[in-house]
Amino acid sequence: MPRADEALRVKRLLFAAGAATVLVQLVMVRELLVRFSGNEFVIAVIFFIWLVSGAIGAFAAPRLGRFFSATGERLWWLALLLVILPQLMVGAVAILAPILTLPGVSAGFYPTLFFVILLISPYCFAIGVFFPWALARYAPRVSGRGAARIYLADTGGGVIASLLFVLLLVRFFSSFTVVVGGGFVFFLAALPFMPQHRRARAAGLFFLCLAIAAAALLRFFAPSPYNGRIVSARDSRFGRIEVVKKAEQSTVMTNGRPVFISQTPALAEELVHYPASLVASPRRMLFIGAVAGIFVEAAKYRPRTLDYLEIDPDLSRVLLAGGLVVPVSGLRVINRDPRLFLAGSGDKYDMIVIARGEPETFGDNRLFTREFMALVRAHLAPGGVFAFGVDGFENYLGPASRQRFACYYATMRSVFPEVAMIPGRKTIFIGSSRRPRLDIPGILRSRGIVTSYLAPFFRGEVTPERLRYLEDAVRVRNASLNLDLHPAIVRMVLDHWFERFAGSPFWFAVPVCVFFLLLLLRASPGEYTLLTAGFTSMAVETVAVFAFAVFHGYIFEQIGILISLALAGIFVGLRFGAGVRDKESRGVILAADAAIIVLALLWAVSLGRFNDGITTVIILFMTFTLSLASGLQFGPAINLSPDGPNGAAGAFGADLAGAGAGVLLIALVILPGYGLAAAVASIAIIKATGMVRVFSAG
Amino acid sequence: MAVDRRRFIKGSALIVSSLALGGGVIWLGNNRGRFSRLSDITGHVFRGQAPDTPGPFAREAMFYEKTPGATVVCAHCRHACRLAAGDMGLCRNRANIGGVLYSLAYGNPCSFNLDPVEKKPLFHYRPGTSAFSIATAGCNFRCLNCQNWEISQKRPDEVRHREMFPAAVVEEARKRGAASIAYTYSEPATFYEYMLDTAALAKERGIGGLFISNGYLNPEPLVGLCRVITAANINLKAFDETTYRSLDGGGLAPVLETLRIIHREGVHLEVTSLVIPGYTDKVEDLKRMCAWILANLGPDVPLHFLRFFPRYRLDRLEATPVSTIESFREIAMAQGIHYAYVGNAGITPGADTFCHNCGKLLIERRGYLLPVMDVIAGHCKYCRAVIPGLWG
Ligand code: SF4
Repeated sequence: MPRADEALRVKRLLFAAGAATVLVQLVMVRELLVRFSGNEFVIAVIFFIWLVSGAIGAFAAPRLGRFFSATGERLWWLALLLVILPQLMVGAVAILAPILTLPGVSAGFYPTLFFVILLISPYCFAIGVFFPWALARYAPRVSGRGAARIYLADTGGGVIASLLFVLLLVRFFSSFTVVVGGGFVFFLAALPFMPQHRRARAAGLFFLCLAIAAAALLRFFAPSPYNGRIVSARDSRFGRIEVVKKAEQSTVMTNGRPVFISQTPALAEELVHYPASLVASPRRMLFIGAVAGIFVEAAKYRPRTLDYLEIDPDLSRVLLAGGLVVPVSGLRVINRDPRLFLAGSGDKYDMIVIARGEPETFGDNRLFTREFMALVRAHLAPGGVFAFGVDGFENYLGPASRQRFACYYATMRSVFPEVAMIPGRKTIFIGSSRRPRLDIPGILRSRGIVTSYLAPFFRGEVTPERLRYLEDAVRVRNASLNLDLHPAIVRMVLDHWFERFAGSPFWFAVPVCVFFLLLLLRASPGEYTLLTAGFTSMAVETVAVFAFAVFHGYIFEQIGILISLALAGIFVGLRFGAGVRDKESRGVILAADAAIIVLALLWAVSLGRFNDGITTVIILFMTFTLSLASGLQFGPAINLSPDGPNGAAGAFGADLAGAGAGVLLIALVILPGYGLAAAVASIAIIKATGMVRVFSAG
Repeated sequence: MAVDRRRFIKGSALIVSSLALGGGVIWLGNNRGRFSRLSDITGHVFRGQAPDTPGPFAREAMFYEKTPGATVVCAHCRHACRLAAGDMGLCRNRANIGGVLYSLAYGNPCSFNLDPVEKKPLFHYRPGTSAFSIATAGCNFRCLNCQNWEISQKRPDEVRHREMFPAAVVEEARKRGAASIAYTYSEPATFYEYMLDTAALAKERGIGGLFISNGYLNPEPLVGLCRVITAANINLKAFDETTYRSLDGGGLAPVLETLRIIHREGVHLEVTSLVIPGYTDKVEDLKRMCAWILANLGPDVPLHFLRFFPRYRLDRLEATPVSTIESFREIAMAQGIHYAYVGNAGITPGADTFCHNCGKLLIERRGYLLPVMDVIAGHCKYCRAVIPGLWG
C-alpha cells in the first residue's frame, strides 16, 4: 500500500475516532449523572478519570508496542474494541448502578468514583493506546508535524461531533443510538485496515453484532432505578427528565433526582404564602422554576401577572402536558434564561420566587449570586420581595450547613435591607425592604387565604426557638458572599454533600497528587510543556464556559459553540505548530508560553471592568487565542521530546494528564474557592513554570 | 492475521463467558433487593477516638461491664459495644476513658425546641400541649433516611451545643409552659443518664417525660427509664430483620421486646411506622406487624403511618403516595387496630381520632390545631367508651 494513502486513511480513522470518542464521552457523562449525583464534583471527576486513563494508556502504548507492534490489522482490532466497548458501557451503566447501591440511595463520592473508574477507564485506556499506534502507522518516524496532524484530525472530529450532539443528537436520539451511530462511523473509517483474511473479518463482525445485541439486552433487562413506573422519559439539553408514576402520585425526576412530587402542597404553600404575606398586594408574580401546586397557590391572590420562567423548555412541557403544573388562568410560561429575561425586561413584580433546588453546579449558581439578587431587586415594585428555599435545617445546622446558610444570608443582606428566614419543609429566605411581620397565619386569615398545610402546621414549624436559632447561626463573622465571579455557594454545597456521606476528598487527592508529582518530576521539557498546554486548554474551556454563562446566560447551544471555538483554536494552533521545524521548536514554545502568560494576566485584570458587550468579545477572543497558543505548542513540544514512539506517546499522555489536572484544579479548587480571576491567573502561573522548565533545559 | 479455528473458538468462548457474566449481572440487577439486603449498615465502634479525659459533659455510664484489662462492654443498647481504653462506641457518645465507660452527652444538648406534642407524634397523650424537646449528638442507628443526620451522625464535640444540665432543662420547660419534656430528634437511649436524671427531676415538678426512640435500648435500662417517663413513641422502622439491617443498621427483635416492656410497665405507648416505597410498603409485612401488635400490645396502642419524603442518603426515591398510607391505615384498622393514623400527609381525616366503639369523630386534627376535642376525661363524649391514652 502506498505510504500517502495509508497516511490519509489514518487521518480519516483519527477523525472518526475523535468524533466517536467525543460522542461516547458526552453520552457517558449524561448516563453517569443520571445514576449518580449531577454536582460539579462528580462532573469534574468523570472528566478527570477520562483524561487520566487516556494519559495512562498513552504512556503504556510504547510498552505494549514491545509485545504487539502497531500493524494496520492490530489498529483495526483496537478500533473494533473502541467501537464495541461503548455499547457495553452504556448497557452496563444501567444495570450495574442499581447493584452498587440500594434503590433510591445516593452513592456518595467514593462508590461513584469506583464505579466511574470501573466503567470508563478501560475504554479511555484503549483510546490512549490508540493514538500513538495510529501515529506509528501514520509516519515511520515520529515528528512534531506528524503528531500534530494526527491530533488535528482527532480534534476536528471532536469539534464536529460535539456540535452535532448539542444541536441535534441529544434531542432526537437515545444514548444507545448515539453511541451505536458514532461507532458505526468509526467502524466504517476502520474498514481499510480490516484484515485480509475472511475468517478474521467474519469474526470481527460477529463480535461487533454480539456486543450490540448484548448491550441492547442489558438495557432492556436493566431494572428501573425507581419504585414506580416510568411513564415518560426524554433527554433535554439540561439532563434526563423522567416522569415516574406510583398509584395516583407523579414524580418528575431530573437526572435521577425527584424535583417535583405531586401531592406535596406544603412546599408550594411556603414558597408562595410566606413571601406573599409580606407584600401589601401581591398582584404581579414571577416564579423561576416550579414545585407541585405552586400556581394554584399563587392564583389565590388573583394576580394580574403570573410568569413562570423555566430555562428548560422540555421540563415545562413535561409539567404542563402531564397536568403536573395546573395552567391557571393568566399563567405565562417563558422558556428563557432567568438572568437574560430579567436583564431584557422592564416589568416590575411584587414578588419573585426561585422555586428550584440549590446550586450544585456553576450554571445553577448564577441565580443565587449578589449580582443576580441586585437584578431581581431592580425588578421589584416598591415593597416587593424576593424568596427562595434552602434545604438542610430540621432542628440543627451542622458546620457545612451553617456556612452555607450564612453565605446565603450575607449575600441577600448585601442587596436587601431586611432578610427573614422561615423554617419549614425548606427554610425560606425572604429579602425585602421592610421589616417582615411573622404573624403569617393571621395575615393569611385577614386576607381570606385558605391553606391546607401552612396555617395549620405553622405553630409547630415556626417556633421562636427555631427562628432565634437561625438568626444566631447565620451571624458568622466574615461570611463569604456568593458572587458571579466567585461562586462560594457551590463549594459549600459540595462540602455539605461530602459531609452527608461522612467522607472527604482527601483520599482521592493523595494518589492524584502523587501521580502528578511523579509526572512532573519525570517529564522531559517537551512533556512538561504539553502538561501545561493540556492544563491551559482545559482551564480555558472551563473558565470561558463559566464566565460566558455568568454574563450571557446558560444557553446550551452557545456553550456548545464556545467549546467548539476553543477546539477550533486548538485546531488552528496545531496546524501552525505542525509546520515548525526542529530547531525553531524551543523558541516557538517559549514565545507561546509568554503569550499565554500575558493574555491570561490581561484577562484576569480585565474581569469586571467592562460592559457586557466588551466582556463577551474578551471571552471569545481569549478562548480562541489561548487555545490556539496551547495547540501551537503541540508539534514543537514533540520535537523536543525524546525521539521514537516513546516520545510521541509520552507527549500525548502529558497533554491528556495536564488537561485532567486542569479540570480538577480549576473546577473544584480554584474557581469555587478563589474565584474567576484566580482561575485565570493560575493559567499564567502554571505556564510560567513551564517556561522556566523549558528555559532551564537550555 | 488469519483467524484460525482455535482463535475463533477462543474468541467465542470469551464472548460466551462475557454473555454469561452479563446474564449474571442482569440477574443481580433484577434481584438487587435480595442482593442489597445482604448489606448491613450497622457501623462499628470508633477505635482510639475517645477523648483523653472526661470533659464537663461526661458522666460515668450506668450500665456496663468491666472485663479483665481496661476493656468494657456497654450494656445500654443491643449493640453491646466492646470498647478498649480509648475507644468510642458506635453511637459516638459513649467512650472508654481509662477503663471507665462514660456518656459524653450529659448537659450539652445541641438542639432544643418547643414542639406541639402531636409532632412527636403522640396523639393520645395530652393533646394540644407542648413538649420541650431536647437532643444531644449521637445515635446507635444509621438510617439512610435520617432527617436529623447532622446531629445523629456526629460526636457531641462536633456540634454546637448549649450547657443545660437537668435542672436547667426542667426550668426551661417550665418557663415555656411545656407539659412535658421530649427526648427526641437523635436517639435518647444514647444519652440515657442525662435523660433519666432530667425525667426524674421533671416528674417531681409534675412535668411529663416523652421517650421518642428507635427502641434499641436494653431491657434493664429501659425498665429504669419507664419509672420516670410518662409516654413513649417507638419507631418500628420495618417488620423484617434484613430491611432493618440494610436501611437502619439495627434489628427487629430487640425493638419488639422494647415495645412489650414499655407496654408491660404501663407507660403510655404509641408506635410509628414510616412507609418507604420499595422498603416498608409491603402489605404482607403490614399485616404481620398488626397481628404482632394485637397479640402482644392489644388493639389500643395507637399506630402512626408516616409518609416518606426523599432525604439524607435516600434522596433518589419517590415519596410515598398518599393513597398508600391511607390504605395502610384502613388495613390496620380492618385487622383490629383501634387507632391508626396517617402523618406527613397534610390535612386528612386519617389524622383524626374516631371512637373505636361508636365511630364518632372525637378529635379533629388540622395540623397542630384541634378544632374538635370530644374526649372528655378519657371517655368518648358520645358513647362514654374509655379512649386509651393520657388525656389530663
Ligand atoms: S449505647 Fe452506644 S456504646 Fe452503648 S452499646 Fe449502644 S451504641 Fe454501643
